[in-house]
Amino acid sequence: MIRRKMVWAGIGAGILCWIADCIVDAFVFREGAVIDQLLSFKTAEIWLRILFLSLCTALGIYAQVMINRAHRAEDSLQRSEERLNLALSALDGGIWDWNLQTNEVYFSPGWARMLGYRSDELNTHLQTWEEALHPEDKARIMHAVEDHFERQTSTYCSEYRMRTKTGDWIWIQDRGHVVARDENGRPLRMTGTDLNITARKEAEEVIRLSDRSIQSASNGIVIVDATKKDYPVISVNKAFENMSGYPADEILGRNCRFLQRDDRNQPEITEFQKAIKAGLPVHVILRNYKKDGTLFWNEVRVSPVRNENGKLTHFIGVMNDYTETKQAKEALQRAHDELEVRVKERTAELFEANKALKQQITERKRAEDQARKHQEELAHVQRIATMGEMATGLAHEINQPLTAVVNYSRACLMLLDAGSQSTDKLREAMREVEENGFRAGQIIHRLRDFVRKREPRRSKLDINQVIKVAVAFLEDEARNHDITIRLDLADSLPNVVADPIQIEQVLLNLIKNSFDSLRYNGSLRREVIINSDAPQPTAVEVAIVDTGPGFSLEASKQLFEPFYTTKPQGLGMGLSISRSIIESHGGQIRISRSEEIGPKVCFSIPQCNGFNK
Amino acid sequence: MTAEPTVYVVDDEQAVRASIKFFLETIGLNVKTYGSVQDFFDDYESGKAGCLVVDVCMPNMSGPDLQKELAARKDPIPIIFITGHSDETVSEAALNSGAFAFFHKPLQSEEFVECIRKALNRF
Repeated sequence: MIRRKMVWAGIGAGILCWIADCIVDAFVFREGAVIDQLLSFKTAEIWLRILFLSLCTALGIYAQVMINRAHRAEDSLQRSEERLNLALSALDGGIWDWNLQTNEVYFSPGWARMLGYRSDELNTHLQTWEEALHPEDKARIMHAVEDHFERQTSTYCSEYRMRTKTGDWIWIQDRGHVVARDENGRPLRMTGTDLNITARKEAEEVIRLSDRSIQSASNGIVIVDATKKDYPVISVNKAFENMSGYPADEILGRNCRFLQRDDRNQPEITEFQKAIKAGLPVHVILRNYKKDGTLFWNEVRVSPVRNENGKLTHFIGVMNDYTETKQAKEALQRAHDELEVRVKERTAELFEANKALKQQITERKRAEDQARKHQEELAHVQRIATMGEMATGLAHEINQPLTAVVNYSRACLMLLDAGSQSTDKLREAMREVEENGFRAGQIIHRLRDFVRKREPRRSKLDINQVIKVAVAFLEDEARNHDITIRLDLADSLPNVVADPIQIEQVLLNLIKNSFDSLRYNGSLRREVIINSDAPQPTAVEVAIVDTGPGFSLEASKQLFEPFYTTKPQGLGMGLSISRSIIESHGGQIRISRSEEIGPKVCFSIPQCNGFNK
Repeated sequence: MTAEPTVYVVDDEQAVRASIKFFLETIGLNVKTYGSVQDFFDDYESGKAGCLVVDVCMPNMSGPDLQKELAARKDPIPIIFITGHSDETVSEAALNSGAFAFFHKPLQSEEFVECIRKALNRF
């Protein structure tokens, strides 16, 4: 189109030149009017004029063509750069043009924008680029540029980091080539494009991280392609290689079932296949075999992997060698079962033992009851025996008030017979009768209490009171044998819970033993000291000390044995029964020797502190 | 026999002592009582008219001890033993040693009075 305009412009110019020539001719040669000139067609002149006209036209056309060509080239370049810049602006990048002779660099507006600058902010020197370059990347980049200069690469291409205006680092893909060299092949000019590839680099890093993570996982991880026939394995990690013993290249492309070998009759396989078919996650424990043939229990968790459209594309299997856990669980179960059996056995044993124990307790209780009854009977017999031994003394004791009664009564009768009017005398005598009769009655009462067969009855009692009653029994006998009884009783002793008759019996036995010892051995000093005290806060203690010779070591070992006696007429029951009485009260009885006086028998009874009923 | 004869009663049992005194005084006798042999000797003067009523069993010095002592002093005062014990050997020994009589408690009042009168008369 332009060319056609040019042609017409050339023709137009030729016609104008011809008209101008005619006018010049008319004026110069004055040979007629212009019209004449125009209408005068002389042959030679016409040919000359046609030749001249053609020449002018050709020259015009040539000039137009040359002008057009120059215009066209400039226009094309301008538009080309515009297009490139528009395209690059969409790409987040720019172009550069490096004059190697001056190190002047043209940076496109997109290039500046990429680093966060306006074009006018950048110094158009190579230094601008060098300064933005990451120091760690610099050497590598320079090496790549050198390689290209030396024609080792047809195109220079590299990826590196550059600092933006805000100080952040972005990843750049830089491509370019030398566009002009001198006669020696040295580069004169180089141009290229830079693209911001930070987003891609970051995405790549995420992918690489995922991959590294999968490789670092301690669980075996297998990825299979669900879009291909028979679901071949496309990726395995190190842990799975270690677990199965197969290297990756022996696994890739195969279906995982090879791990079961011929052992396909596993109920969990059916479950597994069903879930895979339905594209559902599944968790099973399978018998698998390592490359060397050893069995391992594989705990497999498979999940479907879908693409962004929701289409099932892969399965990821996470595997865990369950062998040790399974063995441990089985061992635990076995231990648990064994324990259960043992517990059952032991429970049964305990039940039996308990039954036996109950029976034993019952029997023991019965035996104890019997023993107690027996002891009570023995104690009773012994009390009667004691009374028998004391009969003379007791008779004498009762005789005393009776004698007085008889004497007073006789006196009264005599007074009455004599017709005495002295009522004072009579009253005095009668009062004596009453008093002495009462006294005799008391002795008999005490005696009856002592020998009566009865259930032991414990009550709170003052031990000193019991001592006094016991001593009253023996006062006569003591007198008869020239024995002095001395009481050394502690004031305000705590009460004890005891059977008064039984404690009285113990006291009588012990004091009578002392009497016997004093009598049979003809001691010169005949003294029995009865002492009561509470040396410990928990018990009341009674000691009977006499001035007799005491016991031989031989005898003291057997003293508490039943029927052991050193006396000519002894039954040998006294100490034995005394001990059983004291022990049944929770107390103790023992024999020792008082330093300054002589043998000592001591017994204790726990205090009334709520322990004993 | 210028002085009134006295019955000396030695018994450690106060009730017995007192009742004998009361009884003998009722029949008009002069009675002196002692709780022990020692007390008796502290008060007693030999040669006076009377008789002794002595308990056999007493602490320290017994009836027989008293009898021996009087024998040693050649005191002829008649001694009537009384005892609450029915021990034949003791009574026999006492009589053999020159006791005037031997009575068991409780005392047979008439026989006892008779015996005391005899003893006093004898003196």
